[in-house]
Amino acid sequence: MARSLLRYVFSLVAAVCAAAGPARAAEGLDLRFSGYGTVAATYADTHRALYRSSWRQGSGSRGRIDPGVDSRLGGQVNADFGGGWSAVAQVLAVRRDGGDRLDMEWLYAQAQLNDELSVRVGRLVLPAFMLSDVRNVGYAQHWVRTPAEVYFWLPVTSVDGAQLLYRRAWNGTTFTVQPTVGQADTRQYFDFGGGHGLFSGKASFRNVRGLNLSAERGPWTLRFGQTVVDVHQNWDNAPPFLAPLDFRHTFTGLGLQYDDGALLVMTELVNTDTSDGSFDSRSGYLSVGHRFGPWMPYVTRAHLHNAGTRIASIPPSITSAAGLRWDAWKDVAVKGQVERTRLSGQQFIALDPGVDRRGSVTVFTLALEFVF
Amino acid sequence: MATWTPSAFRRHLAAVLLAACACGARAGDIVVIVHPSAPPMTKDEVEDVFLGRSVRAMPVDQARSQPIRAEFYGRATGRDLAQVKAVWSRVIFTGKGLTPKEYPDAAAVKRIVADSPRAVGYIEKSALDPSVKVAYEFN
Repeated sequence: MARSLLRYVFSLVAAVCAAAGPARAAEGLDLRFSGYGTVAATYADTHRALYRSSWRQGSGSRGRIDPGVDSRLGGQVNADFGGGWSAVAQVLAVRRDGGDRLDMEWLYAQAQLNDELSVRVGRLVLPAFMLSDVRNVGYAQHWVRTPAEVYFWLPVTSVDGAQLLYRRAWNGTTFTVQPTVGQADTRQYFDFGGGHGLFSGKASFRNVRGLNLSAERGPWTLRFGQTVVDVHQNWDNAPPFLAPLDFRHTFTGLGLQYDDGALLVMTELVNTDTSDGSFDSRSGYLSVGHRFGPWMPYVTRAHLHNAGTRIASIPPSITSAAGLRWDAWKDVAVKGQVERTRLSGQQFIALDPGVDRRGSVTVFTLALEFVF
Repeated sequence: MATWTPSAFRRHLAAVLLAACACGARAGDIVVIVHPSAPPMTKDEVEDVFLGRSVRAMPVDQARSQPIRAEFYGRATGRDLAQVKAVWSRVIFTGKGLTPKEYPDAAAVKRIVADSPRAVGYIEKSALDPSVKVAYEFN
């Protein structure tokens, strides 16, 4: 079903391109290429578990340097056909869904209906949390990665579907209303502890309905979002106690950011609610940084409280991180980050039997981020 | 040989400060220009346009090699060019827009601004002519 929808989307994009053909002669086709990338080395100082950066990763760092946890490369083409018609394609190479893969991250056609309203159809960004839409673009962020306590909960970064984007400036404040519908498939890797090992399987996200609201005024951004997803999780290697999972997952998030060019303060609170009460959680983070010329030191603290029936026995996860961003050359930044994070976090899989999940691990990351 | 009495020091300091102010004044005369039919702008509006927050206006840049570019962004947004690039990469890679188009110099910027009612550019005040209108002045 997902494949047939994707074919439909591809043919739609092709049709839009064809339809825009005549306009090309009149207004000129404007093609723009851009891209982003991260070359990173991640080291988790433990031999008792694997450290990773997404549910979609089944491997990671266990007492050795792993370049695959945070490295990625993205390329984007924006085609403007004139007359309000455009298309965007983005490919992303990253470790996820069982290997180091090159995926079509976005491919959508966009119609600008007027100054304020545009509609998109295809594979497009799912802005479930405040930074969901740029979480792959390290250069656009001050830290090495978005906090696991919040951003693990929805590993889907794009969906096949449709989206409206309404932006309106009013009295010096820019308001954005962005509803999205769609669906997506991923592979996810879990460890439920107790030495049972690593479980993986295909996850289907159906009936994705999201609403993203934001208000930007000067240095301030206030953001509220809610995304509802019907999740179906199959298992490749299920032990008897693991049945396929079927539930509705609701993500509700409130975020606030202050960035005046020197001081950066960012916070987000997220509540996840499941229809069967299995994976309910509350999480949040606070990050503060300050720029001194090309240098930007920052600190981040993130918390996760597991409340759902399947995860209530897992102790809270807490990460404290400190890092430094250095805008070293034109369009290139170098970042170093050190964090203390608990083994109870979802970042850890393949835990040794009997490991105390209240224990902490130090993770070091060195990253070179660029855009072009 | 100069004798460093306090009064000589003050005289030198005054001369240095005066020179610095003169330089500042020369670099400081930057005007934001729009189509003659467009309304003037506030400083906040200029900042929004050049950080990709505006829905209507079309910002245009001078080449990165032109010193006015860094000077303008510093005054309009309080950010250096690396930070501005980070802000725009959020705009590009969320699909909300594209970076401003680059034009080689003030003459090219004036031509595009004179031609398109949505374009917003910046030039040295000394390069101003009647084909465009001043929307905001940094001084």
